[in-house]
Amino acid sequence: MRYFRSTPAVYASICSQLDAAYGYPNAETKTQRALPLADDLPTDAQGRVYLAVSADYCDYVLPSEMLPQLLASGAVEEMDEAAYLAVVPVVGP
Amino acid sequence: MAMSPRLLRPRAPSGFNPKTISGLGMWLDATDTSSLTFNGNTVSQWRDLSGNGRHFDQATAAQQPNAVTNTLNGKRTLTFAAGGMESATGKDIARNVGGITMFAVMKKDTTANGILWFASRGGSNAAFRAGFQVTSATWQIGGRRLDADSFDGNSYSATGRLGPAVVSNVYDYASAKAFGYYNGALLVTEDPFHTAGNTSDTDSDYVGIGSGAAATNIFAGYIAECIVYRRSLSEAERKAVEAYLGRKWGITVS
Repeated sequence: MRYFRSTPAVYASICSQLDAAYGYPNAETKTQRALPLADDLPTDAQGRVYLAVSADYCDYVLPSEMLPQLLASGAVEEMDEAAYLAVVPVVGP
Repeated sequence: MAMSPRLLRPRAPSGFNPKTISGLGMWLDATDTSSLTFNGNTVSQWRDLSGNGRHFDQATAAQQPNAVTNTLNGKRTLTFAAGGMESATGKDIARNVGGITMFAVMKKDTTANGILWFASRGGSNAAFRAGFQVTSATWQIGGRRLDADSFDGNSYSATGRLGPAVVSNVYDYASAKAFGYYNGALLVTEDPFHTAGNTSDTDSDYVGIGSGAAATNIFAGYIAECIVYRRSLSEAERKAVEAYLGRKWGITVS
């Protein structure tokens, strides 16, 4: 897994670009979107959204093209699992 | 000379179908291509073969399981690495039943926390009615009979027990007992398991496979087949299903 954070506006822009490129929502493949809804993601005190995504997905053509520029510009920050887990709520029975 | 126990072991006949045992609630089989909706190499819907329509969905591409061919015994499995699937149509799976018997063929990558299958009520993962997960490096079976009950369960070590394996759990609410089996061997008993009776006559809030709600507690491994009966199977019935799964997936079960 890889772990990222960004502002809600940047995240929304990334989602829009991916959805447009992949043609989501797609009724035939029963896929609504590329990335999770922002409302379903953990956030920190600054309102930044945190995303965990598989390394395999990051290697797909479009994400792999977008990520370097996003990281270089600082619009998206990558972190390790520990930093991500510090924000994610613990759930369990 | 005494007869070998292997010769006395119940043997599922070739052509065994889980439907032949009454009470089948849901049946997911990764080898059945007709039951899968693909989004490229990932799966957006895993349809229930029991006829009850308790299908599982994942509408977000990045969280869909990967369909990987030739994973186990030359067959396809679904790998859950970034999320799970939810059954919006299967929320009655654990409603007003005297028992739940869950089977799965699986392999988990590590002993990190991860949910294989669960039905919950009272807030996403936080109120298992019946569930099976790794938590604190143990395989935990447990749940609640009544909505007002607290969680009760028991566990066995997951170290060296990450599969490929046939796991079976019997939540015998009517008799207030629960049992967990790994490749057919009884590894954990919870007795008593709540008070005796049926589960509450209410739908679950969430029924999931491969992770908890909102991609929490991701299973991180593959699931090949998952079968859930809406009653406690007898020992003979349980062994028949285990034998079927063991034969199909090339796993030795006792």
